[in-house]
Amino acid sequence: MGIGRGIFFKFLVILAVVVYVLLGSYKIEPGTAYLKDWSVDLESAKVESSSSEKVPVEQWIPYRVEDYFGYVQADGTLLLRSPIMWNVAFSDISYCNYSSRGNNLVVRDPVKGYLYPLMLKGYPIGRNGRYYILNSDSTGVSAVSSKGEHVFSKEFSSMISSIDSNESFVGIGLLSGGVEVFTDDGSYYGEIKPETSRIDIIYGTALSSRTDNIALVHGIDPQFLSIYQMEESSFQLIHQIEISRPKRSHTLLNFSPDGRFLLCETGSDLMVVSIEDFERFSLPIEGRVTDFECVSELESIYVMVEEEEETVLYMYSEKGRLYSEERFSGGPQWLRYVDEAIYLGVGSRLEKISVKRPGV
Amino acid sequence: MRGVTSLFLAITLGLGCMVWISVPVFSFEWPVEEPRVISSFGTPEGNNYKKGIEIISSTEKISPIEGGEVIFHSREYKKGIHDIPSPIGNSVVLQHERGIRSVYGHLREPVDENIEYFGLNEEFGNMGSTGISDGTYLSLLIIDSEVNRFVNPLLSLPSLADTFEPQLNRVSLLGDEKDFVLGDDNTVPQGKYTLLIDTFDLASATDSLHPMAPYSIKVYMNGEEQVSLSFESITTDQWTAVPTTPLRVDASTLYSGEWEYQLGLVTLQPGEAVIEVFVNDFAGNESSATHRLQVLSR
Repeated sequence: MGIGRGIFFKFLVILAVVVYVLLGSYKIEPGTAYLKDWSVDLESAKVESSSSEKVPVEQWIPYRVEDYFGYVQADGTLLLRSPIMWNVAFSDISYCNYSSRGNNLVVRDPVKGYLYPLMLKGYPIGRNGRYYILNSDSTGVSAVSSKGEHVFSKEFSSMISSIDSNESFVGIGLLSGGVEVFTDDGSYYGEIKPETSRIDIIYGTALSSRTDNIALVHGIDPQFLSIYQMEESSFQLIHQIEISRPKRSHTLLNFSPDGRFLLCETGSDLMVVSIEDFERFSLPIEGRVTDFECVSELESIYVMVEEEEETVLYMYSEKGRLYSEERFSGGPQWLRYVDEAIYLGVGSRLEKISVKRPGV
Repeated sequence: MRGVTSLFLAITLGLGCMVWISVPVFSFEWPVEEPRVISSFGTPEGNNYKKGIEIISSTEKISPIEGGEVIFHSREYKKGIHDIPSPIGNSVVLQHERGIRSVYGHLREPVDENIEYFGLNEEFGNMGSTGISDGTYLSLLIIDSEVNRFVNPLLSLPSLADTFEPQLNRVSLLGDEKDFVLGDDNTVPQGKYTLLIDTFDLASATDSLHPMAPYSIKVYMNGEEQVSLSFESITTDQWTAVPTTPLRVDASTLYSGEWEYQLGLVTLQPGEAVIEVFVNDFAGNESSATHRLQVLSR
């Protein structure tokens, strides 16, 4: 009887291991994780400009590909296609298409057809309904509304290395090793200065849109990912992780839209940290990460990577299991999740892909 | 015996001279061969000050001003939503001793991300025109991170020959009722005036001469220093960049016209007043003007 129970127990263990291995290696075959709705080659596509005035604002979905940017509807109707001068920044329903010289900046509202010339020179970054315009030597920044109204300007005794904002605050990371936090009207809120490394420097800054958390990647020897909670003009360190393969350049760092996860690019992988219990895992990435999206409704993470002149779109579960890996010819440009669909800019093509929830 | 003593003294003096000569006079080396400065520290850049210098050279190869650890590098062009573009183009920041950091901007190509240290004379790139640039040049910034200041790189680089004096074009007094250009009309009513000086230094590095900020402007009234502006370093006051001189004003206040420096208020009392203006470039060339005023009582 005792022997029989032992064999049964062993059988259960083996069965559990087999099930775990099978599930763990489960991967959706290329092509099956995605349902390609449509694909548009922007070099030859037609634009329905005559009907664009009647399209409600919420249906204007921004996109960018290699040489063009614009707006598209969910059914693939192009509302705007315009050549990219050098780069383009989007904010709400306006954009700023600018040259490498960073002058003559104009914010344009494509729905109403309004133009808002800016009396500023620099490179605009679109974040949360604002443009943050880095000045010529990256030592200052001006905040401008999506209608081109100047909100505030700040200059620093160091260079700006990173910037992020949510609806209430903007955090500006500096080479000097601190992050200056301002409210949305430009009032000073506070400073985070970790001073934990041989060399103090900020590489990445991210503000959560749903929580009071602010995350930084900072320092050399060691380099840390630190998560702080904002508390009445002070910042409480709530978690810190030493990065084993540090980068010495601007680090991609972003909270998921629901604030539950933090994605952080390191020198060797993409680290995902759960803000609820600070469990973390790594997504091994070969090549250069161009963009990523964390989609809470689908409990999945999408990572767009450039690998030898190809674009690879990885889909992971929120637990870090790789579900799919899809390859596209052409360079990665843009990745955006809107209404249960991924919009991909790859080479000169814009693709809409309906996505499946991992494991479904 | 006297001969031996003389020989000993001669050898000692000779060695002493050799040691003295070999002591480095300058802290840093130029990052390019045959450097020519085309824009100076403090030159207006939009509503701001230029916080470094722009350098051209026939060779275009760039090496550090001193051996340093790579602490930051950026690429000119960024894609995706979460990345940020770099206005100073492809660039690299090196950490040196004493908290000094040097920034090299507008490089033609990004630097090799795998290299963490560049020694003196070790080339790490070429001049380019990446980022916000209107030509091929190197933008060099020096940051003193211990006191959080941008430091004029010319203060710590070997001096360059410069045969051009700064241009001192005009000294003006702006009054509530009337403005006076000194030299034309040196009889002015008593009162408070805003002092304006039209001046610039000349960069002769390119085929055409073009203006850039002088190193210093000093104004004396009746022998006493009235204004002292020198572009040694720039810091921030309330998130506005200001030079670290007694005249701590932002660029949009200082530069009232294209090359017109607004240097604050002067009060003229009845009688004779002497206003002396000295404008210097970094090489020590000086332009000056002396204006004797008859100040009338109201």
